[in-house]
Amino acid sequence: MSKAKNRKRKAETRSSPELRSHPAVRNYTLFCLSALFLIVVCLADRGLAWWCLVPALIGCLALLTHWDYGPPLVLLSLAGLLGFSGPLRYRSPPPGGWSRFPTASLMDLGLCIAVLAYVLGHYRLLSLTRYIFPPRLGRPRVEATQRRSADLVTGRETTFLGLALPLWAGLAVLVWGWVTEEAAPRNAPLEWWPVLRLVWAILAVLAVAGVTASYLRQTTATPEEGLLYLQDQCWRLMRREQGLLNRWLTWARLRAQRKQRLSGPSLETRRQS
Amino acid sequence: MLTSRGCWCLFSVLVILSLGLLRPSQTLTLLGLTLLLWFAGQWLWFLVRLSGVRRLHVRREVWDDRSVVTTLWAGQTFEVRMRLVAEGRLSLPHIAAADRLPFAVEHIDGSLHVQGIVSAKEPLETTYRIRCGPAGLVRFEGVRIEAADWQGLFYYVHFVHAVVVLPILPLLMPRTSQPASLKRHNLLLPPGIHRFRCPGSGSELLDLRDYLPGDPPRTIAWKVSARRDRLITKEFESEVPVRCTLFVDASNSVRVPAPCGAGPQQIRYGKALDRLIDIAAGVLQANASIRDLTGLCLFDEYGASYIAPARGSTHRTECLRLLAAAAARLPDQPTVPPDHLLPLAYSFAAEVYPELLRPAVNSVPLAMIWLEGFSGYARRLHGGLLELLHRRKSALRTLCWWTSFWALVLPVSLLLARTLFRTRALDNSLLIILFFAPLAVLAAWGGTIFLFGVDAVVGRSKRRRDRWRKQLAAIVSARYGLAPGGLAVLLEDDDAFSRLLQRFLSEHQVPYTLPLYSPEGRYLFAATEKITVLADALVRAVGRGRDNELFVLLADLLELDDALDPLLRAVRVALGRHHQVVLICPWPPGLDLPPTRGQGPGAGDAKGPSSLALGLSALGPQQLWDHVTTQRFHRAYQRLRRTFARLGVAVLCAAEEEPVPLVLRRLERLRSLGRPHS
Repeated sequence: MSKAKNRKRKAETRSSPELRSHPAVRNYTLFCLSALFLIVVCLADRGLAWWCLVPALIGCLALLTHWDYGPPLVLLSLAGLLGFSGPLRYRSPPPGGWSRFPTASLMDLGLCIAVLAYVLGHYRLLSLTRYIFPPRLGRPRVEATQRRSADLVTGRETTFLGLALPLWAGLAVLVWGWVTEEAAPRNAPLEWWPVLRLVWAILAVLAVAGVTASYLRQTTATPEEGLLYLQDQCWRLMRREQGLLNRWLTWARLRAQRKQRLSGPSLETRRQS
Repeated sequence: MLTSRGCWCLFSVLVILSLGLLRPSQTLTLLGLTLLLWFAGQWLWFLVRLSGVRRLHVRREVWDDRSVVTTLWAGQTFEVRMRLVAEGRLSLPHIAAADRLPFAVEHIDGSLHVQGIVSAKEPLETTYRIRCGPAGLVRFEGVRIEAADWQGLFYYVHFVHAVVVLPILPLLMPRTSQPASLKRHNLLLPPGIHRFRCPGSGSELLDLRDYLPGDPPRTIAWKVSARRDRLITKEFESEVPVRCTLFVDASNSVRVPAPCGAGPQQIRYGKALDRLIDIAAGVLQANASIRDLTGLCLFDEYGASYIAPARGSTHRTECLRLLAAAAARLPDQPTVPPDHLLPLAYSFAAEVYPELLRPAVNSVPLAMIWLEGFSGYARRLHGGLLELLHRRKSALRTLCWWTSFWALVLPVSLLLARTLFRTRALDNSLLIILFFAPLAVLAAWGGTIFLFGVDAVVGRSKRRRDRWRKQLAAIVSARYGLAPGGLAVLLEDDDAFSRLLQRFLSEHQVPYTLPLYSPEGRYLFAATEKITVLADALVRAVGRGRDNELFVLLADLLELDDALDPLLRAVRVALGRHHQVVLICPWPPGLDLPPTRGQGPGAGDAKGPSSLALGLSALGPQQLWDHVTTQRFHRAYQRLRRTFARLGVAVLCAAEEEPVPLVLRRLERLRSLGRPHS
């Protein structure tokens, strides 16, 4: 019974044929297929032989089935192919550190752009065909209102998408260049210095973003939220003491009630009656 | 904020970047860096645009067929136009807005949802149609906003509060039976004026009597005087309006939902008060159509509000508004356990106040949930063993620390004493303590850890309930001015928390059910205080009454036989002044109607006790419960009818179609009292 229900639910959450033939959905599908083709070309250039087809096959399958886990699987397969294509042992950076690596080739840049294009396109496609707003807790069924309407896709959006791809890849090259260009200080491990710099840069960006987000949230907080925050802080500091006091007060109130119930109505009540 | 899709994407990106850095691969590192920068960029851009989402505001209009309205009518259809407007120049992320439908109305057509990108120039709009339910209030809370980026990696929920409260007035039904309009008298009086068989300054002849000095000469009946050879003067009838005062019970007992059954009527009449209000509105309209005066007295356990009999559209609207406000009130009962209301209140708060449930402003410390628990003194008294364990985990922890402390202190003290006093008398005690102290510590800690484990396994629902309670207690404490100390009070005091939860739900017009009986089997809504209030109000109305009036008591007096004396005295006073009294008893929706006059209370049980017992044994527990409840109500109704029949007061059941025509017939009778030859 539950299996049948699950199957029915899955069938309901799948996109309808009309939606699949919508121009916006078709365009994004073609965009993703092109990106996958570019990935295959870039990987073939690295001499991966037939293995270069693995990410593309996974991507195509995910595109056909509108699978949520398509992009992560493509990324992980790429990581596996590129990271473990050589001998399975730790390879240290070349003598002289990361700066001795050759400059990023056009194919590297192309691979970055293609992968980003696929990830972006696939996620946008999923927003049109599956959901853009995650299903609510306790309601696994995806409703039509949780999808992004395909009619809302504009040409401007696609243009921006095309412009953003080389921008992010170029930015990554710049950041990587900045990370590897500076010489390591004395006594610092030469091969790990760029890694440390990158990690610290990421942490710094995260901290700044977190503070900014927190500040933005506080500037737009309502008086009710402010009051609730102050009450919460006060309670967290003194909850044990307050709990003890109120426990005794409640005990006394209940005891008084019980006594009153046992002894009958009070004098005032009797006088009133 | 990060969706599961976003989490998986970030995880994959971090794996690629880590692998690229650990197995030095420039291509992989560059790829990871590209994706990470893109992800971070998307996140920052989403964060920046979120401030605009929090500044959205809503404009809502309710239209009837012609124009915008501020008052709704029960059962009628209206159109709602909602517009979501943004401020500022920054574009917002993709938004889905859903107007929250109030509980008092039914959605007919049109979409409550709308999605797109809002800007200052292009607001999001939607239009839908609603049908109003029974009289009461309709409260539009606002619009739920879901914002996400185009990839669905980031997600944010916000609620734009735009509270609009509109009254739903009871529907004025067309009268099924018009009063007789045959000309029976020489003079047709203007509407609203009726003959009264007392000497007055009317036009219709009432009687002839001897002339007394001071009588106006124009009233002398010259022909009769000539025949009798003495001066005879004419007496005329009074011409007075007929007044009707409606006493509507708005106490808790008529505000609770049906006690049993779920018939088709239950959808229309969720509570007994709805029917009473329909009757009152019907009588109001019928009286207004013939320009009779109608008064209204709303009473409950605590007091009464009175509107003197009058006529006119302003008076009628005022009465209808009062009735609508009374219908909007939900039952309140301070001794109800709050756990009964928690799921409903929390789900409502999660929908309407998501910003007040965020951990940043309304946190639930993990240590409190897993290691301490809420004590909730009042609840602990009624809880079982597992409940007690869940709530008193801190006591277990304290016990462990004290055991450890004494297990350390006692041997050390004995050793010191032995050394100082150089005695061997304490050796045996020392040995025993040295043997048992570690055992006690081990047992205490082992037992505590075991009990904590038991609670961790079986206490999932309790932990969830604790979390809900803390967050809701914080919200209602801040909302009703109890902060900052109110939160701790509400966590301990169940009654105070229950009262505030009911207030919270009632304010937002969220219908909720309450248990009708206490654990001891006592009916929680039998308020005898309202009898005194009603009796006082009736006596006051009799004191203000001028001529013959009709008092219609729309009151739930079932199962209050012991406390009826004050009301019976007041009714006798009214009848002694030649007024008329009618009692209309509300009947719970979904319950079988009481037998009619020809049919006795036990007519259905004519087969005999043995067959009845057999029939009852075949019923399931729910049916048996329904049967017992129905029988109890029928008996109570018959008792009430007998009690008032002794005074000559008609008792009617509000579920029948009869009440409105009956009240009108009584009014007709009052009018006809003035007829000379009636």
